[in-house]
Amino acid sequence: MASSSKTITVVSSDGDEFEMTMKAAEQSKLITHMLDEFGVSDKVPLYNVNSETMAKVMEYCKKHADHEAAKEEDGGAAIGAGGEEELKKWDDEFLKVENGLLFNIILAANYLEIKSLLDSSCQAVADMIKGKTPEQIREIFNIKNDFTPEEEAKLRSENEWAFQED
Amino acid sequence: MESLPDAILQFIMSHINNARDVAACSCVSKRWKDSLPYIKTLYFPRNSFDNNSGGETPDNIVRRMISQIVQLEELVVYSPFSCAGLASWLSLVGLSLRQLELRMDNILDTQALNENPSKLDCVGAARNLESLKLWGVLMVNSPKWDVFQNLKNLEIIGARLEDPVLSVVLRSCPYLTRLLLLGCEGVRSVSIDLPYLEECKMDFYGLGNISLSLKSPKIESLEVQGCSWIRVPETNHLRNLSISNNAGRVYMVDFGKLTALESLTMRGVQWCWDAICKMLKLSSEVKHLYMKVEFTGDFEALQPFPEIDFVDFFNSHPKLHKFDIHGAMFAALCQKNSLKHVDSGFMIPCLEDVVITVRSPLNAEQKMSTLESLLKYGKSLRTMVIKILQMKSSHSSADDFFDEVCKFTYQNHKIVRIE
Repeated sequence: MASSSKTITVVSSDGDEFEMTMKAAEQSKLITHMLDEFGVSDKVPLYNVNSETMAKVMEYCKKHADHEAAKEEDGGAAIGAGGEEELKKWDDEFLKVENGLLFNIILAANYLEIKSLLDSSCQAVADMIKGKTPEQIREIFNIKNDFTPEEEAKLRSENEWAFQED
Repeated sequence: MESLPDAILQFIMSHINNARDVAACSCVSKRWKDSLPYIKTLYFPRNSFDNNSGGETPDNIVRRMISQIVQLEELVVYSPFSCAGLASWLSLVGLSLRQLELRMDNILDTQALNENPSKLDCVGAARNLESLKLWGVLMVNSPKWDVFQNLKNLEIIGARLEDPVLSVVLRSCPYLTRLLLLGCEGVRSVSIDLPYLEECKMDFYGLGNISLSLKSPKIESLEVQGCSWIRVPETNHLRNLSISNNAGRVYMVDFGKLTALESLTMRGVQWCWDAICKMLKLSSEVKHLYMKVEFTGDFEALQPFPEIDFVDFFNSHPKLHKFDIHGAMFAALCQKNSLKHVDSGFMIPCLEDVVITVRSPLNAEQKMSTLESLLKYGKSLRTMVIKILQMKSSHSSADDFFDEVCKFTYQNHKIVRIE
């Protein structure tokens, strides 16, 4: 593959152009595949990702590419276990965005095939669900309750054990 | 949220394992309920059913939830359950389960002695398990198990065992690569013959007089507590070894060559001198040595270590990076061959970290000399931590000694510190 000093350009659905290094681009399986097929000189169109989401994804890819490069350089010595923890903390902060953007990040990570981002962002959503009642979950994610009253009553009685608070 | 495709919702749900959360998600909406059958792990914490005042029994609730999952791979149940309950669950998922973890909690249960089949018997229905973890198990009757063809990891924490039962259990898991037996009591003599075992950790309660024989040529890491007699003939791959005995005396250790050994821990109240020498001799390639043996002596009488020559010791352990010197070892280090007469090339090349425990001011001069020599000949030394424990002496020698140590620390403050 081309040297890490080369950059490529991706284009969002809004028409904005974003530059990224080859190493950052390699975080995405889809982009890597497209570059293999179409070469580096072309601009890579990513019509499924809007500019707001693209900017976040760029940030993620750059951070993780830099982390990988640092690991390779010292043979892993400088990064160590502390480094991995730091990266995880960075990921957690990075994903503290409003729900709409978070879901767009999930969709983009899925489309661009960035496994680590898909895992972290889905875990972030799962963490929002833990310990909540159904009503609270519906409110956080703006979900419509589409059970009939009979269905709801049955579910209530089956799952009563999980909800009773002291 | 509604814009996310079903596959992604299912992927998010697969991160939800706590049964309470799964129950909550099943009430959110139809789409959420329909995404739950694809989760792979289900976990019931200890207090899951503390507030259960509804008509259903916990066993049935667990069964119902399991039945709604397409292919459950991991089940963890810390809440109480009955034998019949366990049997009914495993009749549903016994074949797809890869990991099972159960709080059996029946060590003190007199009823459990007579249960037939027992909870332990029922576990055998999960034939394809790769990992089994059991807490608080009564193992005095041999379980009626077939061979677990895929079982690689077995952990038993808190058990009342008997020797023949342990043998039967291990014979049912011939392909184990990892074995943990912690907080186990009731065994006298343990014989392990597991050809693929790589990691083994055992902690036995009792009088510290258990004998252990381990035949596992691939063993890489071994930790034992509570044995007085240990035989491990094939140790070509052993990298990490820890031998402790809180209650009894270590009197016989028999190992093959320890050429791959990187880390050795020796702990206990009393080890026979023969055993100590053997271990120190075998561990010539070791990088990390942790010594916390309080006394030696071949019989009841507790005795201090005989003298260990400083120069000889470090010459025979040239690769030592980290050295924890607690108990009697520090007091025993001395310089029989005065360093004035020693080869000018003597040095301790790799030593970087030293942690020392000092307890008594006896032989203060010898101890100070050891500290100084460590610093002088330890060319790579980065840190030296001196822990001073309860020097029980109203004699002024204790104060004098402490002063010496403080002065030494102050003079070498970049490397030495007191805790």
